[in-house]
Amino acid sequence: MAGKNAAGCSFLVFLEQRDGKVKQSSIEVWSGVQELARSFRGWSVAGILAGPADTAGLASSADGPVKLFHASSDSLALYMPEIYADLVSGIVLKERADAVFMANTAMGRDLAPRVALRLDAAVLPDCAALTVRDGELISHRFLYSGTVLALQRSLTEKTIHTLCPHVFSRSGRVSGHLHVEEPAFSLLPDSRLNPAVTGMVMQVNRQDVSEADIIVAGGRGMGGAEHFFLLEQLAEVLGGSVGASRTAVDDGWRPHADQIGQTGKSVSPRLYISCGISGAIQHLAGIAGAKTVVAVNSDPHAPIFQAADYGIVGDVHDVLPKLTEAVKEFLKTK
Amino acid sequence: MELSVCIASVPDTASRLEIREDGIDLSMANFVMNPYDEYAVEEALRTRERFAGSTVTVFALGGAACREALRKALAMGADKAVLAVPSEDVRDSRQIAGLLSQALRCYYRNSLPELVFCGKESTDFHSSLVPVMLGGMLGMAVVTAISGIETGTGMLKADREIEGGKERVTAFFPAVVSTEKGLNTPRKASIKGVLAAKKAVIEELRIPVTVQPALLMSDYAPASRTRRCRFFDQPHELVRVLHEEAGGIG
Repeated sequence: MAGKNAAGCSFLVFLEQRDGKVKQSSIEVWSGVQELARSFRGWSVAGILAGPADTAGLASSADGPVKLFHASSDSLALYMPEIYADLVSGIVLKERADAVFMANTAMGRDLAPRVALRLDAAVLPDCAALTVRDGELISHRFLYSGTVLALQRSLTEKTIHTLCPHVFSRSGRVSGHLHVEEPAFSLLPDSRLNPAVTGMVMQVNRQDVSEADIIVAGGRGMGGAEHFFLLEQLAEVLGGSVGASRTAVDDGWRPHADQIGQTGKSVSPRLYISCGISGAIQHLAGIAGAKTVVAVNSDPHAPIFQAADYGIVGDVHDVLPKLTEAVKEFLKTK
Repeated sequence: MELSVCIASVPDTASRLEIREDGIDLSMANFVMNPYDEYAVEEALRTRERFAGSTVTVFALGGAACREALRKALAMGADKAVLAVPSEDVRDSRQIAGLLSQALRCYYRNSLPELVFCGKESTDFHSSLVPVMLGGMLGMAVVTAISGIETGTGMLKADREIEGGKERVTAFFPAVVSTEKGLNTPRKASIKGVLAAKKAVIEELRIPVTVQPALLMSDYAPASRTRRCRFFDQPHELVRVLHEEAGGIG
């Protein structure tokens, strides 16, 4: 973006689908970048989608047409790293786009550097806040376990941005009807360099913590895997997911996929309820994006309370059943 | 098989960082091997055990702080360690990947390794860009953030953690794989290993910086996440307040 002024920027948003469903995180980026572009004359946005998918959530009947490059071939249903990268970089070149935006997911983190290599572009990873200053896009990110905030800018002509969840407000409305174009792509860039995804194994009835709106997480204070049902119960009445601290994962109480923190996932739920978690800096690094934080811990001096909006001092085994009951009662009377 | 591991050293999370607007002073920091790189070293050692006659060579880019991380890898059981010293300061992932690829080419000449293991990201910046860029620059297939691997003849099968599940991936050698937590449990170095690593010679390669940075960081500021905590005795009061003030329930 360096040196570009506000007159005429062309942006592309990569939309991620899994099992034919466009990810909520991608839709947030899609609507957010459109919102951003609307404030500046001459800024345009188009979408890129690979694989068969339901595009209904990507458009409304308002506003003008929005272009969507949709390579709808069945052969792109699973993530094919090199083929996807060829597809995206091909469209960037053809459209003379200045920047590509994608959600910071497992796929986005893998795809962004592959696209960047092809375009000689910078990747501005992990963007936590995106603003416009003098017609230039300004990206901020966290470093060193979330203790440092820094500004990052691109030194190249083209830029790939990966965006953390909720960089854009949730209310971001999708507007415009879609003008769909089927881009050309090659299925065999260089087969030896192309890792092939042969299948996916998904957990049934479990929402990943990185995508959850409400998270109930447990740590050492839970005392063992057998007590996590208390968290499951609370998560169920709230419609949330269960997460875990590093200790709980390292002790084998929960799978690594549930870990929140520096060597786990960064989460940004609307409500985060931490139970029996002391609040080590590595854990706090993972919850910086949470809107409201509730802490339940028996130690009133636990650092987690300094990072919480609301707290209850008490034993989780005692407090959690009461909290679950209180939520149930509340929902009944509502 | 020829196996390589690329490791980095990072400030441990308890380190005191002096934040200035123009940069971060790490002189007070205590450096350790990047946690994700321990899984990479461990997986290379396990691969060596399965394929007789294999060699594990560990590479690090940078200055003296990296020597300790290289010695740790040697103590865990790596055969050789190489410190790549850049001719000037490096500023971003693209430069790091460029220098590492130059270091590997310089060390191996015309026969690059079959497998290169990297941690999926470093815990200081967590950009997760270097493994893919390194693979691209070396002309190798890249599989990132693996939590399971089976190596066969000339190819590998791996599991990648994705949101809500796993992805099965196959790739041909030569390949770069980046390792996620959960792949294995890194071994502790034995006392014998530590003593041998102290005496081991770390080869040094001087690498000219030819790749330009693509990204510039500035305006460093401490990020405070301190919140004012309001305490409750009764869970039902908390639930009511969560609903009314935080919109958190219902």
